Amino acid sequence: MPAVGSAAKQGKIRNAQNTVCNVKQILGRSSDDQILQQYMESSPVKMTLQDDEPVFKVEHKGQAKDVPPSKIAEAIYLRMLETARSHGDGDIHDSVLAVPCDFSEDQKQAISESANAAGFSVLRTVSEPVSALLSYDIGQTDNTLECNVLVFRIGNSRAVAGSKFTDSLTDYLATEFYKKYKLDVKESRRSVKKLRLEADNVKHSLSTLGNAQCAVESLFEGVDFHCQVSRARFESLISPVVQLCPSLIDNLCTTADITKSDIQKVVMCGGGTKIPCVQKIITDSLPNAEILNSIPPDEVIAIGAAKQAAILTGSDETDIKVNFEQSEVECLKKSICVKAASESTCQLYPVFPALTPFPCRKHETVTLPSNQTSFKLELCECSNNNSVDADLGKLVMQDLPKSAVVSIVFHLRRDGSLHVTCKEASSEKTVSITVEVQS
Amino acid sequence: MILPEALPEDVTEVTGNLSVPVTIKVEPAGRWYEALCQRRRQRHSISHHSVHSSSSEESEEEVEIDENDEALLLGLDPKEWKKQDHYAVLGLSRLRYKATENQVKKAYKQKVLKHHPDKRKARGVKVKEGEDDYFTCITRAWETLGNPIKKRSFDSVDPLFDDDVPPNNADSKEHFFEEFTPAFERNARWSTKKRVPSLGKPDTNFEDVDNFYSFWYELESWREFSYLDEEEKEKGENREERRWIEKQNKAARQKRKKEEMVRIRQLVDNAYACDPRIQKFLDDEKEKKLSVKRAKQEAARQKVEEEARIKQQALDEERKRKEKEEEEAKAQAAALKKEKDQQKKIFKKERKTLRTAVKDYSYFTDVDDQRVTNMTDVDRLADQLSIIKLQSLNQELTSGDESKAKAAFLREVEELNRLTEEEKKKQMEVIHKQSSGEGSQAKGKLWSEQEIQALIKGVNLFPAGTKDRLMGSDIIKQHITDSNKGAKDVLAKAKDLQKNDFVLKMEADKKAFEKFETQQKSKVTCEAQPKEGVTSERFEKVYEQQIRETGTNPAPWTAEEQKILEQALKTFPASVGDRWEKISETLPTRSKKDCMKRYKELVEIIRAKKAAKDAAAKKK
Repeated sequence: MPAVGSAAKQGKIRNAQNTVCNVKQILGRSSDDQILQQYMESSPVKMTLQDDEPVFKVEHKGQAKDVPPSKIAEAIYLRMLETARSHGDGDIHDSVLAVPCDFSEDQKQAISESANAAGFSVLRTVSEPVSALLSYDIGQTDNTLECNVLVFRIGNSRAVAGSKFTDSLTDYLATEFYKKYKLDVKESRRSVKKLRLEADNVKHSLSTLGNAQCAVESLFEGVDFHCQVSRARFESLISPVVQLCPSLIDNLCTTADITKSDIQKVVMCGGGTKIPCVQKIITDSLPNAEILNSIPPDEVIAIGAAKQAAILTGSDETDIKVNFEQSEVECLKKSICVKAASESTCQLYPVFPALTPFPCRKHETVTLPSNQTSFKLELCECSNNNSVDADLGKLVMQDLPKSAVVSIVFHLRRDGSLHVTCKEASSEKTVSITVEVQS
Repeated sequence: MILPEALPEDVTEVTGNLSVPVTIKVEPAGRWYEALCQRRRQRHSISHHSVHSSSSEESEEEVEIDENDEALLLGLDPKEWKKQDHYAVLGLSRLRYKATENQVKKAYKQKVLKHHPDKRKARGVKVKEGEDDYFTCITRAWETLGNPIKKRSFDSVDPLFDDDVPPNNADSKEHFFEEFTPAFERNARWSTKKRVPSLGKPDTNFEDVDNFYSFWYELESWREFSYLDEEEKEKGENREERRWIEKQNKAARQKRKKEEMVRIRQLVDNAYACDPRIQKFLDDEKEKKLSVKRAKQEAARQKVEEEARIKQQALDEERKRKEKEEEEAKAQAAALKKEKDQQKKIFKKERKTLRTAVKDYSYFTDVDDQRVTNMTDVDRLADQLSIIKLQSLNQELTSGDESKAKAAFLREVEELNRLTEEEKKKQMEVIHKQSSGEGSQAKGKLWSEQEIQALIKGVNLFPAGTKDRLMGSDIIKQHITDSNKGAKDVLAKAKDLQKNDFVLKMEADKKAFEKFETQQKSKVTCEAQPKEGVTSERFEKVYEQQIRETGTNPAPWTAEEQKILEQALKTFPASVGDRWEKISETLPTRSKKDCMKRYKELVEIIRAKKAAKDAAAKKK
């Protein structure tokens, strides 16, 4: 059984030629993909193309083996399955995979197949930002809420990445070592990897502590290295990278055609967002936003995926599949409103907002004033703001008893038509209309 | 929301149409998306604000069975609560084992609300006292199904479960999938592993079928039969009784479990026996093996045929070649014959021309003797001249000039004579050469006296017929290092010596003696009078050198040496230790080996004489 996770990371010091990293980047990519080409050039593990598919050439237990990326992903998922089983969840392994939002269908398919091969039952794949939103139940308790939420992720292989923080810290520690002992660590790749691993630990410590001890045994030519790093020093080291965050947010707002003040919530993802200065700089750059980081940032996506799996578990498998495929939904083009008149102005009360998917149903109960014996309900179509685009219909009831209770049901059918029913409770009078959709 | 008052003239009406809807792509995540999909698929819609968007189906399920549960419940006997169908009692006949914990709880609460004795009393319905009321059955059902362990226990012995196994017969084989698929689906619920492979379709591949049967043959069943225990362990009065009850229960459970496994095994065996795909796989395998075998046989047969064909082809080719050669030879012979005939004709013609021409000129002479000679010469010319020369001669003869003709004729004659003479001379040379060659071969390579002596020694040492006869050639090389005689030369010389061996031996012996005498003389001369002006001298005698170098002195024994040896033999009898050493010391010219050898020779000679004497005496 190959080593996975932290054990493999430790082993990378001595065994770089046989330690595969970031296999998720290349899974499902075709052989002429640019990213795959870059990966092959930069990977310490030898790679070749066999039958137009990338293959790692590694040595395991004294034997040379050709391992495709799918097998490595499968090994990772097998270890995850063992972990899940050790927590006593029996034989059920219904899962939802969270994948980067720029994953293609081929990549989603490849990663799903690896997880299925390992023993999981992959119900669905969701995007990582969507997973992050699900973890905080944004939009799940109330479906009328509309807001702009920024999912900020510090992962790997991006402009702002956790590995870049480690790089800066490693460079700093290397210069400290040189000052002390006049020995250049970068002459030995093994020493650099060793130092890098320790720098990673220091980075993790400094997210919660003010100071961290860096201690590496026999770093270079038998010389031990001990050093103390303060958070202030660390923050000054990573400030060039952290300063990129606001500009990234600016670019995103420009692309999405909103302003920074429009962002109402920010979900923090990735271990890198635990760093206090990163949180501070994002808080400063988004004044109106509520920072959501109660859930540990490095677990946010996993929790969201788990919640999605909880929703899907129990449903029929064919239903899950069909639901996944039918993600195109017919919706209302404009809002449907009711003219609710008052003394001075004509106010519009929205019943179905724009982009409400079919079918949909809404139920309202209105109690008329004691002196009112009749009412009229005028339906109209509106675009944004309070302006009527078109009148749709009118329901009128006359000769109603005092303090009449009217039950109104708005039913937006799957064919797009609107059916409205008004019913008075005591007298059981009923009025209904059907508004057809334009052809 | 405030609705304005309607005017009297207002009336309900539709005034417009909705806009054409838009289609957008949404992320397939979250509960609202699932609810939307469910709504789209269902016939009727429910409220948008329902909290149980995902569990709406379950709510509908529970509303059933309200109609006929009164009769069922009233017919229950609290004493026989264990035999009742707990699901039916709680109103979950449709869900049965699929009911979740929450659903069971909800169902029980509904039943309590309707059938609790206090509630019925409030409605004025007659209620039995205490445990006799049918509500006890509801309570028992809840106790059983509300507890997951007990629920599992009850599910194991579900009375509505179809236990039967499709038989192994022709009908099952014919309708295999219709018969066995539901059976396996029914029994799949007993598996501890949730993911159960399905029976599949007729065209399912071998791997899936194999997985299916492997899984079912290795099925781990959670089905247990604790519900059917006759007595509860807790009812035992003392510890021993409790243990006895436990033992009995365990035995009964084991027995039923064993029967269950036998049943499952029977089901899988029957399926395996009736599965048409298994037969097909076996047939395929057999066919494959057969085809491989057949291919092998075919290959072998083809090989044999090929070899035979090649052989036949070779024979054919050989025959054809022979025929062709014969034909060629025939044709060649014919052509040769034709050519020969033609040439003969030409010869004949030319010869006739020659004779005629010479005759015309009356043989170029007036003298009869010369004429006769010329006549014979003409014949000789006619016989021996080549055609070309004949033609040129004829040309000159027929030119018309008598003197020229004569000259040409005489020239040819002279030429002929010269050639004849040359040929004769050559023959003579050849004959002479042959005879001289024999002589030269006999003396081909010059043999020195030493070489001849070595050869004789070798021949004597290894007589004809012995195994190491050819060692004789090596002896010469051993003794005379600069010898150029090979084995062939040695054999030839040996044969020569055999032919005229007496003469040569005598010559050799004589020469040896003369050489010995010369050596002696040289030794004397050297001892007596060293030459003046000679820078290097031999301080070692020849026999000393020979003994030092080879260990023996090959020179023949002289009378003097013989005398000394005989004297020494008498002086040193056989009893003396290292006798031969002392003997060789008295004889400086001979080594120990030589003395021993000489002694043996003498012994042999004496024995021969004695034998001869004895033989002669016997004759007398």
